[in-house]
Amino acid sequence: MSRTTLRAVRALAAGVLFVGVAACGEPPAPLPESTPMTASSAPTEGPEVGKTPADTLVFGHADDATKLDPADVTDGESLLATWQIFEGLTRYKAGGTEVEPALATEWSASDDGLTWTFKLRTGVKFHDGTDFNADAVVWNFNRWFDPTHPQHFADWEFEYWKSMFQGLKDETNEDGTPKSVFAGAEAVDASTVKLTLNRPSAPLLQNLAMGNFAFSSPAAVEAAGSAYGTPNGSPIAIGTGPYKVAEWMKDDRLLLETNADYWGTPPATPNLELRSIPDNTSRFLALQNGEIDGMTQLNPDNIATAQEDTNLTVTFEPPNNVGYIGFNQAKAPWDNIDCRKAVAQAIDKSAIVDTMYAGDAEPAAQMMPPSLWGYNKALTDHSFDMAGAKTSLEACLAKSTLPEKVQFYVMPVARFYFPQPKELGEYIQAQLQELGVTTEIQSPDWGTQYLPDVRDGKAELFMLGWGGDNGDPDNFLCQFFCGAESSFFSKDGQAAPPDEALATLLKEASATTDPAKRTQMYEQANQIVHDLVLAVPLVHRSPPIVFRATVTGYTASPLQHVLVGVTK
Amino acid sequence: MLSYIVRRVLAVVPVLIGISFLTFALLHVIGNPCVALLGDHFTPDACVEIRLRYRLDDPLPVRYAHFVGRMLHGDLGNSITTKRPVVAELAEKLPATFELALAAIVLAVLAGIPLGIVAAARHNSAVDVGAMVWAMLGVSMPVFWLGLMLIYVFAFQLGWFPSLGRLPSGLTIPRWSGMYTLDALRAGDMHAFGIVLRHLALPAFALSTIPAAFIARITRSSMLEVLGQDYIRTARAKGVAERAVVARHALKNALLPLVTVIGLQTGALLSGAVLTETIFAWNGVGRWTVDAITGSDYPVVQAGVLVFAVTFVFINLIVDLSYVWLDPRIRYE
Repeated sequence: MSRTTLRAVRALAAGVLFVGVAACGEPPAPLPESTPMTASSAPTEGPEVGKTPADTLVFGHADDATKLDPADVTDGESLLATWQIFEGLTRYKAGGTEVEPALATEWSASDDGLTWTFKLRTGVKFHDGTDFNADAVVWNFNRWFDPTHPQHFADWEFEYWKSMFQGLKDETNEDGTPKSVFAGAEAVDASTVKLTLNRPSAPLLQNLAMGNFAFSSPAAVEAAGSAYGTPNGSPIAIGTGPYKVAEWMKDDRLLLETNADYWGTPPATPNLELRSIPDNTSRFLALQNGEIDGMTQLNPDNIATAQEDTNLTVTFEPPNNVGYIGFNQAKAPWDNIDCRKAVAQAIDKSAIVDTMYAGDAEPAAQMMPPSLWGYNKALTDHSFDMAGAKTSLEACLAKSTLPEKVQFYVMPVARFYFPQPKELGEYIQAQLQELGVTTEIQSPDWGTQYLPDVRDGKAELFMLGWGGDNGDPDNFLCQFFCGAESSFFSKDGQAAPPDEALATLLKEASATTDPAKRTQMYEQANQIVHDLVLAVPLVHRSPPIVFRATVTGYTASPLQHVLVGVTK
Repeated sequence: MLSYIVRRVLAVVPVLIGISFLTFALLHVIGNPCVALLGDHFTPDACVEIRLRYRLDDPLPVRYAHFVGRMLHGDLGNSITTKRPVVAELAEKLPATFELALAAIVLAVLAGIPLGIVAAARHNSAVDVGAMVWAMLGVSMPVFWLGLMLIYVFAFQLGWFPSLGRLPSGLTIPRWSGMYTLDALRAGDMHAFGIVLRHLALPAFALSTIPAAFIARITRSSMLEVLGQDYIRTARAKGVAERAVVARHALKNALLPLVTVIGLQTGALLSGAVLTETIFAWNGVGRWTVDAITGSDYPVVQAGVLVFAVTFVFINLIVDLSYVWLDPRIRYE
């Protein structure tokens, strides 16, 4: 055999050996149940292909956390991780949007609603062994609120603080009043904190239950500096929650282990691994294959398959969103209620839900989901009625003139509530055409034009949606109809409430601290929105979460994915 | 020979400058980072703050000059999404992409060259036709589709391989290079090495099919051209065995264009790894760059594109320099 031939044979043999070692070797032995998982430990034997370790819940999601400091994140993937590690003063009850005690055991508000006093749970420690107490609470609030605080890092956004509390320290409105609802925090004693507000804010308790306002250890943030919350941080992330960070391989997996000193019920599964698997189909195959124990963001096409698979359990979380058609009432004829009513009656929401969703959505009757308190259960939606719509249109045309082509903004990007916006827009266009309203679809670039155009008042009808942040009706209804950012009455970039009386009611509701009275006010607000046809709510969509059938203990929730009680 | 080497090395410099400026300029005239970052929470006030913070209103040449200055100091800026240094994130992800691309090109060469040789040696036979049909299929199959099919068949149905990731749950390997094959070997853990190879097998195979097909076709063409030369006819006429004619006389001369193709395919693998990395949840540069593109994370996009382009340029340089060894006409210039 010549030398060249021998070389070729050796190369081929190496290739065969490569494939052979990879494919033909015995599968590795399963992990022992108590194997610790640390980067510094010697390599351990991995589990069988298709099996997860018995002491670890492996949960697949689409993307890794951007950061593990809840104060500076806005994405759901980061909050999925931080929900397991951190806690705040309050939290949402399992499965709902009402608030219950967490690190605060009780609270009271002054009569003017400007001072809130919280009694803190005692004997709680952060994962680094430091005490959770009033000083730690005050430190965290000051860090979020005060841009001069040494750990209010310059290039961090604290986006949700600005959104929910409306501003930072020393920021003022044009009239000189403080922008922020929040005025300050004070430690009355080691287990009592007083929060002072610039104006009454009834959503305060709901806001405090958000994952973004959970507490980090001051010592940890000071030690890690601006690397806190990142894989390079030392430490990475320190909270008081039932799980703590063991290891973080960015964009691959986050390993959490039980906090042995947790004050509450320990996790049902000792370890939790959050695996980042970008492709929905790959993630589903991995779940079916047993390589992960649970996942979110199932492709709609796979819902039926997952429901038929006896090895899997599909649960739909209560919806926390709304997709809708809005009217810009600054543009005639959309200031005419008959014109708006005609559009509302011409859209068949049931047909939309049946054809464009995979059993994971419901027609929307109100501009907030039914999972929220304040939802008006007695309200009857405008039903699909083309004949009635044409009658309404006649009434509309008696007083107003329709443009030759109504500018209808259709979203160019999918959002959770509108997974097929183009098809939906075309369907609605066809229904409006049948009504007698000719529309011209505009789908400018989402990144540069769509939202600015809608907010500047260039659209007459527009598709948009909203996902709730804090389980408070104010987060939906005031966002839409209080006027500050309203697209429902927008002219040349100037926004105003589409209905002043409604805006007044909503602002009053957000300052009322009596829960029963607030509920009544929001039910009334929903009725007003319906009666005035300020918008046409189309759909609420429920995200599915899927587990292996052997995994139990998960409680579906509109606001959070808490995996602490999940067992396998 | 020396002048050839010097000329080739110097030619790289203006190419790199052009790449960096084009990448920089293109990314800064398309898209709106404000809306991309803020999404549904966009407000004009928040946008003003973003534009100030990231100096998005400075003139392009000024921003480019700052960019080049920082780049030469090893600073590619911070990711807009994660706020972490881009260089740090690149260092985490590059080994994964290199490991995958290297494995894929090795498979491609091991499969493609022998197939091309056999097809050329048995020109117009059933073997030749079969090989070229396979090559056509390899070039035509979308990588993401092939990846999902491999997962479905070999992971889900047969359970021979894992479907995702570089490591299974519960296994960690002390990091040295970031390439787990090397790290496992360095730790002396052959069991972990085997596990790593099992995780590498499906994505590497998926990624190797297109370059293997190209390599097979080029090998066949090149071999056919060489086998038609007069000196080959002379060798056959002298009674040299056909196997020796192919392996000893023809193959080395057929290698020159093949080296070019392998180099180009290696560069293409780095960019083609984007889809494979996504399907197999492989934590590499490709996936990182795609996420950055959809999120308008400009510093990361710049870094990702620069890495691909620079790697391509240097691979081509290595290929060109290898001609010095392969082609005596260059060596004795």
